[in-house]
Parts: sequence; C-alpha cells; structure tokens
Amino acid sequence: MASTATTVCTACSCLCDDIGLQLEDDIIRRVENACRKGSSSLYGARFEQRRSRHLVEGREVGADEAIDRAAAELSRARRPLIFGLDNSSLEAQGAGIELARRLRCVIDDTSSFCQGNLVGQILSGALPSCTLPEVKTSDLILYWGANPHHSHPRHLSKFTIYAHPDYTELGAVRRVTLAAVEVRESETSSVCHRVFRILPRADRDLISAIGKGMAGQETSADGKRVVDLFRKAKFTVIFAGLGLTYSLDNDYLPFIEMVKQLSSWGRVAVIPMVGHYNMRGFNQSLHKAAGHVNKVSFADGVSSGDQFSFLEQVRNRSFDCLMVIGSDPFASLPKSVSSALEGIPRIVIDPYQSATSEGSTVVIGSAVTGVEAAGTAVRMDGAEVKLLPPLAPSRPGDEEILRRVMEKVSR
Amino acid sequence: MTMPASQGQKLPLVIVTYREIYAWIARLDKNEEAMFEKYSAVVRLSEADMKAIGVNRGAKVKLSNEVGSVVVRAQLDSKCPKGFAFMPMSRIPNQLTSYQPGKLPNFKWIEVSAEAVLEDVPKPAVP
Amino acid sequence: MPKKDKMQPLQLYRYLPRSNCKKCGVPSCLAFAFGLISREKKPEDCPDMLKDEYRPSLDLLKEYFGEGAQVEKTGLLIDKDKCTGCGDCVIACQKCQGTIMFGTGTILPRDVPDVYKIVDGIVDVKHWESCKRCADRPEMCRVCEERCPTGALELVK
Repeated sequence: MASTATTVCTACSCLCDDIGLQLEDDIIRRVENACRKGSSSLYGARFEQRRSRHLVEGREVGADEAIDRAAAELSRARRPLIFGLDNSSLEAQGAGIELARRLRCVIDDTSSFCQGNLVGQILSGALPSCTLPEVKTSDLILYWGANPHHSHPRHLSKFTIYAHPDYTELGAVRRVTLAAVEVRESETSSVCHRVFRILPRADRDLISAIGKGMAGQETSADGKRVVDLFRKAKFTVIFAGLGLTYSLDNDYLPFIEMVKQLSSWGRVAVIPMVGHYNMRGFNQSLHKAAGHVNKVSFADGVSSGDQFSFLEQVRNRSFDCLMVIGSDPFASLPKSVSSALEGIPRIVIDPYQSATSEGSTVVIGSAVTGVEAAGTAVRMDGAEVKLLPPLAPSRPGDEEILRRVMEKVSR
Repeated sequence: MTMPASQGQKLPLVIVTYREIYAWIARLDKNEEAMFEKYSAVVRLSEADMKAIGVNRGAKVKLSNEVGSVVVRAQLDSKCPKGFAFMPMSRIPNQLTSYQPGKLPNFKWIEVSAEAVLEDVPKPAVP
Repeated sequence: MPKKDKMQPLQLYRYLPRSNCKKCGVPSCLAFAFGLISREKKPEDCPDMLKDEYRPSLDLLKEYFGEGAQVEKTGLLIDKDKCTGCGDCVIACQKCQGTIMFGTGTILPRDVPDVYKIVDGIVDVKHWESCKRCADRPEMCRVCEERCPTGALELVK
C-alpha cells in the first residue's frame, strides 16, 4: 500500500528533519530533500546483501542465541572494552554506558580520535557555542578545516549561508560573509566569499598570526586579512572541522585563546563539524554519566585519561574481549593498530556487514536507528532531535540488544 | 612504451586525506568495487610532483612507507602545494597510516615515497 | 561554480573543419560549435567530421559531450553522477526569484513554486516554468550553475 512519511535523516550530524518519503509496503520508493548521502543511507536499510545477520563463530543463529553468547563472552572476560555507539540513539548509548559501568570496563568511541576534545571544550564552557538556528543571526560564517559539501552536504543550504535570511542573490550589498580556511581547493571554498589557503599543519601558525594581528603587531598577509574579517563581524560562527583538530593534534589551547581574544570584538561561537550523527550525543551522555566525554574506565570508580583511548587500549592489547556497536574500526583505524585486534574475541552489534564484523566471534544484526528503530539523537550543535523511523524494524534495536545482554551478564 | 626520463625515481611526499562523498554512493552501487576504485583509489598531485615522478594523469603511482604500500591513479590538482598530495579517506590510505602514543593517528600527515608504476601490459595470448 | 573543464565555443571551433560548408544546416562552423554546446547538434552531424583526418577530433568531442544528454527546457544539463544533492541550487534559486528595480533598489518578488527539488539525492527540475529563463521576458539567470559546488549543473543555452 502506498503511503507518505516525513523522517529524520541519520546519515550525518545535520540530522535533517524535512525528508519526505514515498513508501510502498514497507519499501522506500522515493526520497525527497535528502542529499545523496542521506538517500543512500535510507535506501540502504533494505539492501539485504549488505545487512548483517546474527552469527556465532560464523554460524547463523537466532537473536537469542547470539545475545546469550555475547553475554557469556562478556561475563567470561576479565577486562572487556566497549567501543562505538556513535551511530546509536541516546537511549542505546545510555544502555551501553550502564553496561560498561556494570562490567566495570573501559568505554570509548571514535570521538577520541575525532572531535571529542572539541565537544568537551564546548561542554566545559571553555569555548562558546551556539545552535544552528542561531547561525541565521550571524554575519560571518567560517569553515575551518572542513568541506561540508562532502561531509555534511546540506549544511550550507539548510543551516548556514543559503539558509541565512540576510543572504540574497539580488542586490550588491553583502550582509553575511562565507569564509573558509583550508589546505586544498574544495567544493566549499569554490563558493566562499573569502578563502584562506594554508599549508597542511600550518593552522597553528595562522592562529598565532591572527593573535599578533589582533594585538596590533606586525603579522602575515593572511593573518591580517583574517583579522580584518573578524574586526568587521558582529557575530562570527566558526565551524571547526577535522582539518583543524588534526592540525592542532587535539591541542585546542591556542584556538581557545584566539576565540577568547576575538570575543572582545563581538560574539563568537564554535560548532564542531561532528561526523557520525550521534557522536556528540555519546559525548554528552558520557559527560552527564561520568563527567568525561570519552576515554572512560569504570574499573575503579570513574577515571578518564589517554591510556583509556581505544587506540592506546588496542596498541597495548589491554582488553580480552571487545564489544563494538555500530562502528568499523578495522576499516577506519590505521592498519598497524587494527591488526593488533586480531585474535581478541569480538562482539559486533551492527546493522551492516563490515570489515570488523567479518571473523567476529558474535555478530548481532541490529535495526538501523532512525530508519527502523526509534530514539533520540544530538545534532552537531547539541540540539536533541527525535528520530522518526519510517520502516518497520527487521531486527532488534541497539538499545534492546544492549539491555538484553545486560540482563544476562553476570558480574 | 617509452619511459619518461624521471620515471623510476622515488619522491618523498606528505599525504593529507580528505572526505569524499562518492565513496558513500559506491556502497549502494551494483558495481561497488569499480566505483570505489574510480573515486577512492586516487592521489591528487601537483603538476611539479607529477613531472618529478614521471607520470601523467590517470597513470599508476605506488605510494609506500614503512607501514605498507598502495598503488593508485594519479590526478592533477592545480592548487596542491608541491611536496604534498591529497587522497580521499578510505581503507586505501589506511594501509599507510600509523599512530604514535599520545597523538592522533597521522591521517592528515602521511609521509610516503611515491614512484611511477609501469602499466600492466596484457600478456600475449597463448598460441 | 561552473564546470571547470567547460569548453567555450571558440575552443570547440578549433576542433571543427572551419570550412563553413553549411552541410550541417547552420551557417558557419562557429554556429555549429554553439549548436554542440546547446546539445541541439551532435559532433557526427557534421559530414566532414566523419572523414578520417578528423577522427581524433570527433572522438574527443564525442567523449566530451557524451551520449544521451537530456537538456531541460530551461537549457540546463544535469550531471547526475556529480550531483551530491546538497540543495544549494534549490535555495539559491529561491533567493533570486525576484526582479530588482534599478534606481529605486526595490525588489519585486515573484510568487512562483520552486524550480528545483532534490529527489533520491539528485537535483531534479520540478517547475521549469518558474525559471526566469522561461518567463515572458526571459532573464538569462545563471545563479544555479554558479552556486553548484561540484559543477553538476551546466546551462548550455
């Protein structure tokens, strides 16, 4: 039977809530307004060849048996580790954190080598931020180390420059400026009013040049131009991408200093260009539960530190059982790191087959959150968005799986 | 096939990875591997570096370091600074990446040496 | 951003026989180059191009123009492989639906439905009649082409 629905897209942390669907007997026939990433993620939910089935040591089993085995593996392990949850709902993340607390184990997600530190700085109040609707009152939008046209395709048309009420294609006066700091000529810079192209890893130099320029000292030409831009702006929004994070190697101090200085000229807000749709949700959930955004160990009360980052844990082989929820470390980590994962029992909860699910001890096929399973997610600006799954679940959701595992875990 | 004078030389390069949306689209394509190859198995080089390695657009380049090696197709990026190269983030550059404790993985600073690869010449048919 | 490697009529003209023989039905080879860009003509419509001496040019032009390009009524050609569905063109087009009264600076809005819609992640022309190029007094607007970040939109007329 044909029907229509509106849904929230969970392909990236824009969480676009205006996606129109035409359905026919639980199959999506037409997707409106979603970008290519979004529509491929919506159609992908019914692409059975790519979906994962419940497996125990490669043998197809029922959900109950897979969950029982997962619980048994976790119970047997002396030092398990929970990783992922960036592609799960807040409710599932809550269950995951509760499971980690019960197992007294380490929990981490991709944000420890992504935007976690930046989100942490915002949550702790070290960096000012704003919501995406507030961007419409800004007069300078700066993408720093980000190419939203590939990572968050609708970012410009839905939240920033094109959505800005002061942006016009008619008339000669520009009331809102779009600028970018980047290392390569990207799609985003091709439509920017001002582009500052720097060499890779030169972000720190540019930040210090801006600092000098603001203090009235002699500075580089680029530094001068950026300072001029900042000086004219009443409300600047900086979208910080992975380019900035990696260039600063997660040390945001110079950037925080720069933002502090800038704040004396006008309002400044920083929004992290978070990749996975609910990575910020994980950071916020863990911050609420344990006071830290990631890299948390519940082994001895609550502790956090670099030694609990997933990369360090893998390098030192500090765990004897790994539970991965909705993530693919085998594909996304350096090979030298992921090869250290070989031989450690793995429990994978994922809607799709991946390099990580291949050869895992237990695979639990889960529902695609946002497409088949309901829940709440946190957008890149920290706003909570209720997901509207258009399809009936073909498998249990992450939250249900985690709660059932928790019931059976003996600790 | 004539070999350009500089072909066979190894050139040190720093690879910076970036996001590529087309890899997502490839996931749903029937011809996934071919599409992945088209959009992800590429390295974007400056004109000077292409000349230094001795490759033209579309030619195969071998990138290697102490971690591993990959063979990808060269693409011209006129705005790429000399000594740097750009690659879409995927499992391909991950064959070259590494991680030092206390730092982030070197996804955006991969030191490699680049050299041209002679195209695979089809084997003559067995008479 | 207009397509980076877009060929201009004079560039195309260099690949043509330049004999102005009119066998293709247009008065000159330059006019034929314009016809190629608007996709009203195909490279093989020129009888001289089929000769052996023009084979490399013909192959190059065939590859450049591709097969089965569908030009919209507004003169728009969409490269569906390149489009990422970002929707920048949808909003940029919305924002230019008005006419500036020069001198007074007033903008008269046009109350028309959106030209574009993103369907299945790719831009689609939904109401071509809303395009300023199709108005009673056509305005050769190029905003969508200029704002397309990937060069997926090309106005050929």
